[in-house]
Parts: sequence; C-alpha cells; structure tokens
Amino acid sequence: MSFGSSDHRVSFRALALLLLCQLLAACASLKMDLPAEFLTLKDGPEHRAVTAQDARVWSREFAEDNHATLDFWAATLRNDLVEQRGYTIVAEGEATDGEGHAGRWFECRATVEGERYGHLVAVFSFDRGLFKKRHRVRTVQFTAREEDFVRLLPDVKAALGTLRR
Amino acid sequence: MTGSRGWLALAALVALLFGACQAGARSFDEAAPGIVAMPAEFGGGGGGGSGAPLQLAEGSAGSPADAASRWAESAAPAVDRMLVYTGSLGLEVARPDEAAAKFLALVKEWQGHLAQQQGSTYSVRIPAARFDEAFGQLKTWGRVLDEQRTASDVTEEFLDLGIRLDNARKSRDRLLALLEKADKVEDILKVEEQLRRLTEEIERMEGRRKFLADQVAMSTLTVTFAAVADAGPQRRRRAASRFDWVNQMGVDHVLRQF
Repeated sequence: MSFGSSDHRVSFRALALLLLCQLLAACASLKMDLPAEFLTLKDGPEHRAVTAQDARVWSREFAEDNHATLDFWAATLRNDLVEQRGYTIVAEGEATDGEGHAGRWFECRATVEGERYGHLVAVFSFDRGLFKKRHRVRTVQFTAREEDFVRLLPDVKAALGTLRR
Repeated sequence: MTGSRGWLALAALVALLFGACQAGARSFDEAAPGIVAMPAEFGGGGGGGSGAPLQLAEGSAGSPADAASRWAESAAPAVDRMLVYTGSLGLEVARPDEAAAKFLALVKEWQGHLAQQQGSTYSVRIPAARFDEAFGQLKTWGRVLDEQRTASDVTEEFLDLGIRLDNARKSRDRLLALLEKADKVEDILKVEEQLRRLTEEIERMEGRRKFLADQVAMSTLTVTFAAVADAGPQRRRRAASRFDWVNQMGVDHVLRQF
C-alpha cells in the first residue's frame, strides 16, 4: 500500500481539500446582516460593527472546554448580568442563528458612569470539529445609549437570524 | 279692559327681556357656582387660561340644601375628576448641571416654569397634560434612585366651594338690599359688619378656588439630579465568572475592549 497509486492520490487530495475547507471555515470571520446604519469593521475573525452614533455590535465565538447545555449557559449569563453586573433584564427570548444553532437573548438596561445604556446579549451553543467535536459558544452583544438602542433594537434582533460564518 | 291687557303683556315682555339681558351680562365669576374653570384636559380652557369654561349647572335662588341637591344631580354626570398631580424623581446622571439645564429648557418648552431650586433639586410647575411625559423622558436620562407620584382628588372641595360661594354672594346681595332700606345707625352698623365678614369669606373662597384650579392645571414635579460619585451606595465588586467568555460580556467590556 502506497500513496503513490492513483486511487490513493485521489483520496489524499480529497482529504487535504476537506481539511483545508475546515481550516478555512474555522478561520472565516463571523458575518451578520445588520441595518445599513452599521459599518462593519474589517479587523479580524470577530464581527464588529458600529454606527455613527457609536452603537456597537460585537459577535464572537469561543471554544469552551466545558460542555454544557444552552439552558446552562443562558442561566449562567443571566446570573452574571443581573446578580454580578446589576443590569435590569427587560425582555428575553429564544433565537436561532443563520446556521440553525439555537440560542437565547437578553435585553438589558444598565447605567455605566451615569449614562443609560441598552444592552442586548445573545448566546448560541453547539459542537463543531472534523475529528474531535469541540464545544463552541457564540455570542452577540449590541450596546448603545438607550435612545439609539431602542431605535435600532428591532433590526438588530432580526439580524441575529443571519449570524453565520 | 283690552288696553290694560295690552299694557300688561308689554310689561311682561319687557321684564322677560330685561331678565335675559341681566343673566347674559353676568361675568364668569358672578355666574359661579354654575360655571367652573377646568383645565384643558378636563374639557375646559385651563385654569385661568383662555377658552370656554365648562358649564356644569346654573345656580338659582333657594335654600343651600336645595341648591346642593340640584348641583349634585345636574353636575355629577358631567364632571370629570379634578386631580392634582405631584411627583418627585431622583436621578443618577453623569453630569448633573447639564441634565438640569436640559430639564429646565424642556420645562420652558412645555410652558412650565421653575418654582424652586435648592442645590441640585429643582421643583417645577408643568401643565398637567405633560406630567406623565415628563416622567417618561426623565427616566431615560439616568438611573432612577427614587420615584414618587401622587394624585389628589379635589373635585368635591372645588364643587363645594362653588356652592358656598354662590350662597355667600346671594347673602351679600340681600344684605346690600337691607342696607339700602335701613334707617337706624345701629342697624346700618350691624349690616355693614355682616357685609364685611361676608366679603372676606367670599374673597377667601375665591382665592382657594383659584388655587385649586391652578393646582389641577399645573402639576408640581421635583427632580433631584445626583452625580454618579455621590449617588447611593456603591455596587458590590463583580466576582469573575469561571467561564472566560462570560467575563467578556457586558456594557463595560463592549465600551472598553471593542
């Protein structure tokens, strides 16, 4: 058995292509179809977008060594927002991202250094990997001064469904 | 006979016309308690403002009990509640001076005015129709530290004052008629003393009624702007999560690390 045969060369190429695709997918930056007011910043695998009024959307994906259900992550996040950070949750719900991963979102109000902010956090969790599946947590944060936040919120919420690599 | 009937009919007609003219010539104040000034939101033209006042009932001669009874029957279905709104709000803001200046500009825009200022506490009078809007707007400016709202119903007192005022004015008219007929100095002095007391009472009731109408038309709102540093107890220090991504959530993180 050698890799020199024609069949084996085809198999090797296919495997290499698959690995390359996985590698590219892993390196591909997150995308999200936000309202036209947002400018997407081109500075890395994370998705960052900003409006002229400095409303910010930040989407990221984390490799999490600890495997847990979405319910657990949502409860953990909720506890951190309310109990640790002192935010007020005014609404919460379920969401699905652009790749079909189930998620949860929390709409909060917070006062930071005297300024009133609105903060939307969405969390999605799933497993991904070619040989060894790794647990992933994908998050979207939308932060803006309250007036801008309220105005942009419906469109940003709708955009959660377009989050993808 | 026919001639005298004609004269009688003519005299009756003249009397009717005269009566109608007299009724029509009465001023707003003289017509009380039949007419009550109500703020615009109650269907009138505002306390002391322009516009047609809301006509409730027309008072007429008779005992106070009768008048009150007629008033209650005729006015009750037509009267909206007269509520005096007062409220206070404590806000934690980044820049109290800027917030106060913005607030006072808004009050001016709403046709209101500053009533009192003590440090960073501002007491303002604003049209009652703007009361809820003011609270709604102010609460978006910072963290609410304290909020209180009160609505006092003064309908009964206002209507009662109207009835008492009407009766007092009728009594004054009767005393004036008596004064004209009085011959003895002693009688004149007694009637004049009664007139003086009654006039004082009428003025007091008129003042109170105007005050109530003003209180209904204009709400009192007291707002305290507190700077972040001196506002309330400090929040406890956040304990870091065991999960690193959780530590990277939050407004602070987005503002500083974005």
